[in-house]
Amino acid sequence: MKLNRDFLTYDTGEKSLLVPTGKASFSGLVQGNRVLGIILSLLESETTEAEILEKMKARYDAPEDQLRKDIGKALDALRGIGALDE
Amino acid sequence: MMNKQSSIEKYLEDNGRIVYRNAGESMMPLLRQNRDLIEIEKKCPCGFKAGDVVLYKRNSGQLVLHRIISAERGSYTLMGDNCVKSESGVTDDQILGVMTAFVRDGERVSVNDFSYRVYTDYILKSKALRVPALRAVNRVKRDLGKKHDDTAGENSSKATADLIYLTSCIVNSVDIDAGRVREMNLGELYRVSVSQMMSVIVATGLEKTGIKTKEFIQAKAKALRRNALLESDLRLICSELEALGIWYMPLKGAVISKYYPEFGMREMSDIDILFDSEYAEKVRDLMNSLGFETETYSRSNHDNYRKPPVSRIEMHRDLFGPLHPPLIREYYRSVKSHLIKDPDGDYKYHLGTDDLYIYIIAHCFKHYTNDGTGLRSLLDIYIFNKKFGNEMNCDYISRELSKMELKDFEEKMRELSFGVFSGTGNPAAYSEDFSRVYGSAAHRAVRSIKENGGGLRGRLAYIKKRLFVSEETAVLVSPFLAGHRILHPLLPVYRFGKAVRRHRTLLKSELEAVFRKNR
Repeated sequence: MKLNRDFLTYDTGEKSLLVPTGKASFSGLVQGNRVLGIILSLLESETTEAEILEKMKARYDAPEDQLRKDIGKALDALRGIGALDE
Repeated sequence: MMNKQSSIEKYLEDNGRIVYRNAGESMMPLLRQNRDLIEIEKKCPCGFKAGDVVLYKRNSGQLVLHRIISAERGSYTLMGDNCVKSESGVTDDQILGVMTAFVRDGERVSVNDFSYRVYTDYILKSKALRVPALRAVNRVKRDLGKKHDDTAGENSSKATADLIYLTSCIVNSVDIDAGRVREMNLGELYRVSVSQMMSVIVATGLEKTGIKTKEFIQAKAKALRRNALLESDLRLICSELEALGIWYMPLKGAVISKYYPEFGMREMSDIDILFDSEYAEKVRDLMNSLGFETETYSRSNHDNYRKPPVSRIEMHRDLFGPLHPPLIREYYRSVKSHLIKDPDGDYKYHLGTDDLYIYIIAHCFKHYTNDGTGLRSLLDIYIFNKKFGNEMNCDYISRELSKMELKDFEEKMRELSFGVFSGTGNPAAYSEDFSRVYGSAAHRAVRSIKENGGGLRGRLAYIKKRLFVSEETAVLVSPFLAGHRILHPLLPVYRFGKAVRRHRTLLKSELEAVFRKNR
């Protein structure tokens, strides 16, 4: 899976933004913290949920279940707005 | 007891002729309401023709005085000179009489007089052009129907003071008084914030006291989205210019925004990039290949491009153009001599701090002398001085600004910016000069009318200036009309029609300002 090319990511330094371009059917704005920013940056290349989990485990010292849950939630939200190509 | 209309009908029937005072506006400018007298003679049996002004009776019984615009075998189409709708199928039986003369300011004008015949000819032949223009004017007049409300003005002033307060707290990292925020009229604050393009900074201030409204959340999200998309386009365009080997320099918001406390607080409506004008065609091709549609090309000092949903890009061939103050234009004629090579690209340039500040002032002045300037410009000046004030070379800046006669303007703007935003000055110094981001058409009208002596004289001078533009402006308005001398009389009509089609809100505020009493 990969981020749909009709969305672009933007790091403001404090927040991560996911912004639809004119071609996306979603017309809102997604704002999140650094964790979302990392997930989005990983999705800029073809990847899998398992790969994202491994990279997050290497970066964050958090229980695997919690990371899996947070990643799943983020990916579901992205799927919901059509931001993922799978 | 007979009503007036039936009296007219009876009198005309009994006497064959009647003179009465015109009651309506439908025959303006020929017949003025309640001022001019109309002479009507009972209809002759020879029928009527196009151009005749006749008194006729509708099926409802209403008597109407309108002009015949077409006649065919006893069936007529009528229309008032000041109307946009015609009435067809009026028959000989309905026509009671024909106007033979009218009296205006004591002078009698017969329908046989040469001047009247010329007027009639004009009315009949100009219908195709006149009616759409009249329709547009009527639409604008309807929109102006609202009464001026003093309470609205007070609410707006308080909301502006609240906006200044919140902004001042944010940019100076000062705690916000939640009690004061609770007293704010959030609806009016929202309206003023959006008009000043400062909804992000105001929304952020409100959020710090726990206040989030749907309008502010959406306005902030919209502004952040716009800024993100614009900056993404800026990166894309800059990388393509690098690849093509064309020197370039991002301008204005793209540069100043990074000095604001957080991303998005310096809202942008477009991206401005100065580039090597020798490659204007190549850049146009590049922009088109990137999906940008050309809005204007080679019409002014910048070519304009747009791409949905929000991207507007101004590619500047020069920093200032033919319509801008001459001294400023001259100063920036060889702009490249002011530029410094940027480390972020082989062909990227930037202005040094002092020169950037000088440009900010010159750009602000350009708008100030046109439509006026707004709080966002003032905030730019405050933030820039706050960040770089101690390291700028004041002698150099003063000397360079003097070349453009901007030294006093800079001093005034700097003092005002600190007075408004430092939190230690008097925000009431804020005046009507800063009614919107770049001022307003209304501000321009008010200033111009005053400069021309005020009253009717000032108004007429302003209207003349707006409609009958210089040749340089005419080319920008419509190269086609400007290029054909015989079509020049159409320029004012075209300008007005364009304003009605594309800038109705601005036109409305401008007309309100021009026609407001006591100016």
